[in-house]
Amino acid sequence: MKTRLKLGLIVLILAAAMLVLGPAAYAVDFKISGQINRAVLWADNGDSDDLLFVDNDNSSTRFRFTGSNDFDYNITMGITWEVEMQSNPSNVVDIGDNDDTGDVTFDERKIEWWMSTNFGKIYLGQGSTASDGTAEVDLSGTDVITYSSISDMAGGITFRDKDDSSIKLAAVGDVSSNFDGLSRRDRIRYDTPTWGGFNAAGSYLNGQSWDLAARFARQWDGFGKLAAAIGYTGADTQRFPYKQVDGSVSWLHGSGLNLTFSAGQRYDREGDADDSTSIYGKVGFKRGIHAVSLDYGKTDDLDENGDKFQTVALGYVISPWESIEFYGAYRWHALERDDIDDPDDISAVMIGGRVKF
Amino acid sequence: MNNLNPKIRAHLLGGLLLTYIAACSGGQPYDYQPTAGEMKQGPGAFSGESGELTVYDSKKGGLFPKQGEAQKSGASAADSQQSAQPGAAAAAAAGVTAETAQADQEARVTPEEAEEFQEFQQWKKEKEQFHEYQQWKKSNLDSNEYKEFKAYQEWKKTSKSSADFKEFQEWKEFKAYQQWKKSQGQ
Repeated sequence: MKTRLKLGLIVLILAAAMLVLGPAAYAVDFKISGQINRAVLWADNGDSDDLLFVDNDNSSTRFRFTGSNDFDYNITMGITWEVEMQSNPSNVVDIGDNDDTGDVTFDERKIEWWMSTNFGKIYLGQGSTASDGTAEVDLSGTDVITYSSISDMAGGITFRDKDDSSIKLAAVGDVSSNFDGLSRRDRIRYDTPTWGGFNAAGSYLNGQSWDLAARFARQWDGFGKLAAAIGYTGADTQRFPYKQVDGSVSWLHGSGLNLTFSAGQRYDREGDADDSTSIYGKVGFKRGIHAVSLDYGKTDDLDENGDKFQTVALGYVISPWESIEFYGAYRWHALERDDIDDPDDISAVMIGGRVKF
Repeated sequence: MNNLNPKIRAHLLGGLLLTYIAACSGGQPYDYQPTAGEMKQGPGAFSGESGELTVYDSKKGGLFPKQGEAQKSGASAADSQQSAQPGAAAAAAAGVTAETAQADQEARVTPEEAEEFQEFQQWKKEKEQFHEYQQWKKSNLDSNEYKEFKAYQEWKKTSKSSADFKEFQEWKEFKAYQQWKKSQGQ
C-alpha cells in the first residue's frame, strides 16, 4: 500500500513539475456542450401498467465543460466537468409512482483534469475508471435505447409476487447487470499510448481498489470496423468484496450489418453467494439515418442465488438531423427465482428523443 | 481467474481470439470513442458542426474573444467575403494588409501585430497553394498522385488527435515563423 501511495505521489509531483517548468502555453480552448434526453415509458408488470415520463438513463440529460491547453513537448493538459440532471430517471421509476421522483439535483459524472503526453495519458479526479465501458462497446447506433446495460431503460420496474402483487420481489436493476468494470469514481488513471489499435489502462481508487483494462479498435476497407475491450477488477478489498472480469466486442460491416457481444462475471464474493454471470448479444443494421437492432441478455445469480433473468429487445433509432435522434424500443424481461412461483414478466416500451445542444 | 465460469471464460477467450486474428489481418487503427451511456457525439442543435459551444479558443476566438482574437475573427470574416468575391476585393484587402504590415515594419512591431502579420503571411501562402492545388486537381483527377493526396486527406481527418498531426501543426507554425523572420530582414 505504501509503495502504491509513493508511486502515486511521484506521478503527481512529476505532473506538477512539468506544468510549472513547461514553457509558455498555446492553443487554449474552453467549451460547453450538453444534451437533453427525454422519453415516455410504458411498462406492464403483469398486474398493472403505467405511463411514465422519464429521463432516458441510457444516456442521461447532462451538460459539460471541457478545456485544454497545449504545451511544448507534445503535452496537453485538460479538464472535464460533466454533470447530469435527471428528472424521473428511467432506471428508477416504477409502476404506481404517481409523483415525480424527489428533488432534481445535479449529479457529478466527471470532475477531473488530465494530462496527455507521448508516454500516455493521466487522469486525476472523478471520472471513468480504466475498466469503465469495457462491457459496453457498441457500434450498432442504437445504444441510446438498447445496449448491454439492460437496467438503464426500465431498471426501476419491479417484479411482483404472483400471489400478492403489492409485494415487490426485485427491480429489473437488482437482477440484471453487465458487470461493466468500476464505473466512474474518484481515482487516478493511466492510459498507455495506442499501438496498432491496442492500448491498456489501469486505475487506483479509494478503498484500496484497482482495475485494469485493454482496448482495441481497427478498421478495414472491405470488412468495416471492429472495437473490443476487456476489463478486470481485482478489487477484493474493503470497498468491493468481489472480483470481476468483463469484456465486449462490436463489429460494424460497411453494409451496415453489425454484431455486438458482451460477457461478464462477478466472483469470489463474500459468504456463500454463487458467482454472478452475464451474457449479452445484439444483431443490428444501420443505414443512413436509420438503425435497428435486436438483442438478448441473460444474468444469473445476481440478487439471490438461483436467480435467472432474461431479456429481449427490439430497438429503432432515426436521426433526421445530426444533432437529434428519435428512438423507440420494446423490451421484455423475465425472472425465475427458486422456491417461489415465477413472477409475471415485465414488458416495457420507451419512445423519446435525444437533442444535443 | 481460475474461478471463472466455463461459459464466460469461453466467451471472453473467443472475443480475445477474434480480436487477435483481426489485429493480425491488416487494416488501420482508428480512434474508437465509447458511445453507450456517453453524450451524443457530433453536431449540436445550437452549437453547430463542432457540437460544442466555444467560450474561448486562442486560435479561433469564441463567444468572449480577447481584442486580438476579435480582430482576427474580423480578418477571418473578411477572408470569407474575399472567398465569396475573389478578384478586386481580395486584392484590395491584401493590399491594405500588406501596407499595414509595411507600416508595422517601419514602426515598432508589437507581439500582437507580429502575430497578425504572421497569420496574414500564412493565409497568403496557403491561398497561393490553394489556387495551385485547384489547377492541379483539374488536370490530375485520375492520377495516382491525386489518389495519394485523397488518402492523405483521409489520414488527416482520422489523425487530428495523433502526435503526428500535432507535430505537423507545429512544423507549419515554425515555417510561418521562419517566413516572417525572413521578411523582417533578420
